[in-house]
Amino acid sequence: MAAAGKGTRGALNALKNLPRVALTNIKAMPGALTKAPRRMGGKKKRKCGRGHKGQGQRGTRPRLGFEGGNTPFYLKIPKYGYYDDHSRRRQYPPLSLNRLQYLIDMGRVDTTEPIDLASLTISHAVKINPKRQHYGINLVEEGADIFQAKINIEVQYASELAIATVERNGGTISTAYYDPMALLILCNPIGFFAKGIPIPKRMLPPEDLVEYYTNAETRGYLADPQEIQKARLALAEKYGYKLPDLSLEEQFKMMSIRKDPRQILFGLGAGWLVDLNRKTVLKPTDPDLLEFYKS
Amino acid sequence: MATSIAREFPRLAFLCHFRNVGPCLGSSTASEYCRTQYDSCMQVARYRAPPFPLDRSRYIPDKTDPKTPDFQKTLKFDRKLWGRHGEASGLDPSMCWPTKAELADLQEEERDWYLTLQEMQQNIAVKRAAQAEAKLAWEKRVAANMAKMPKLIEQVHEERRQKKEQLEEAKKRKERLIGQARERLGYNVHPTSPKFVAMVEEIEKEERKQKKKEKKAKQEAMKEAFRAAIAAAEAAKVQDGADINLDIPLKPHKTDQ
Repeated sequence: MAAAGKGTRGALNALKNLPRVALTNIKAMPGALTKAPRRMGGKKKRKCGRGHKGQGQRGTRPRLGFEGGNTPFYLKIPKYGYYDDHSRRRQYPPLSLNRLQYLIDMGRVDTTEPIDLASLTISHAVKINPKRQHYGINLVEEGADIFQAKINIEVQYASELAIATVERNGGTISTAYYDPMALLILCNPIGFFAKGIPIPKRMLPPEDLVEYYTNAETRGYLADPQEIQKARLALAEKYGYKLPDLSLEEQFKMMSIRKDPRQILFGLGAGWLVDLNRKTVLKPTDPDLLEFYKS
Repeated sequence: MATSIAREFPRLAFLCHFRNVGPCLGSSTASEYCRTQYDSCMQVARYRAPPFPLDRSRYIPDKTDPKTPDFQKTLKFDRKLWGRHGEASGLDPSMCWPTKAELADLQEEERDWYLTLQEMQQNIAVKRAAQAEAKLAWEKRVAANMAKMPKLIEQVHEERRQKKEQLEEAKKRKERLIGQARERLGYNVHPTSPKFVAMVEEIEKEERKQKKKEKKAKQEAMKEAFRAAIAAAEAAKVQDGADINLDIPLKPHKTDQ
């Protein structure tokens, strides 16, 4: 059947001319017909792909680095400091400006609201696993030349050029620290609400990160807002762009939304309890609790 | 496009899971899309978390029933029930907040284990000050050592030069000794042979004697000169009637030789 026209028009015409959808001309959706689970040895009967007998077949191969009883190399020569504390180092998986622009273009990230880790994880833009020492995302500058969106974004680490790019477009950016518990809640709020525990306070950053998050040049969330304004102007001068005046814009209110340093989720304060069923929030009234949960 | 499909093909309306929103701010494709479609609608994929299985199994355990497992009678379980079903669980939500004891523990933990921002900033200031001081001390030390550097380099060169000269001198002396031995004995002698060693000792003895003699002669000459000077002075005194100091010791001054 010849479709009249090309591309979208052709497809539409084809749709018009096609017969009605009926049982005779449809087939099952992919994945609708499930296969029976494979039984043991279902594909390969003899050795099941594990070779002849021994450690390979029985799955008892020695651990990585084991040298059959010798003192292993990694213990014999303990000189290599590159991996010291590697399992405890803070990890910041990258999110490039390129990828962020793609997500915005695809409609997966809503720019009419402040963007934080919660909105990025809910749209599967980034995968954050606090159990793997992830402490948030690192906004990297790849794609700074094509980035056009005007956003209010909160990340955990950002390079100078990334900050400059976001601000040049009339957006705002801040870097904020989330302790692992807060990050877990931020990445999976529903799962946390189901525990029936009030939302805890966000912890302060550890001592070695205090300088970063109180610094206006890195747009730290604990920095003085006036200092941040100065730093914005200084960065605009450094990179040679004109900083748009935010206070004149329609979205000024949205752009100036910031979380409280002790707040984890937008719109929800510390100590609040969420009723998932009725979509309501309960707040404590006990003065001791209010004292404990205040920022 | 979304709306046009729904309008023209009502049967396919169920395919149009599109949300009508204004053009995405800053979207690099939004303007182009709107221009080609003559439509303010744009497609926004609906990414949402999967629905939470809230009402799938509303089970409220009977705590009076002896068959109910113990873990279902705990406060934690009650809180979970409330978190999952909310008011529908029929439980009092006030038990979700920490009890007095739990709150006391939490406050104690916060007090004992967490520093305030000001405390951390003070610690950092102290640390930075110590670092700056250490750096300043290091810079001072480096500057002082660098000032000494040219002198030390000169010293090293001088030592090397002297050592080289000494070596050359020793070599010359050995050659000279070998030459002397050949003259005395009439044939080439190996420097380690006893004859040569004996000869060298003899020569050294002679040299020492010679040196002593020379020294003595020199001293004698000096004494003589001194005596002559005194005599001349006395003569002058006799002539002029002037006074002269005779307390000068007669011993000559030590010389380096």
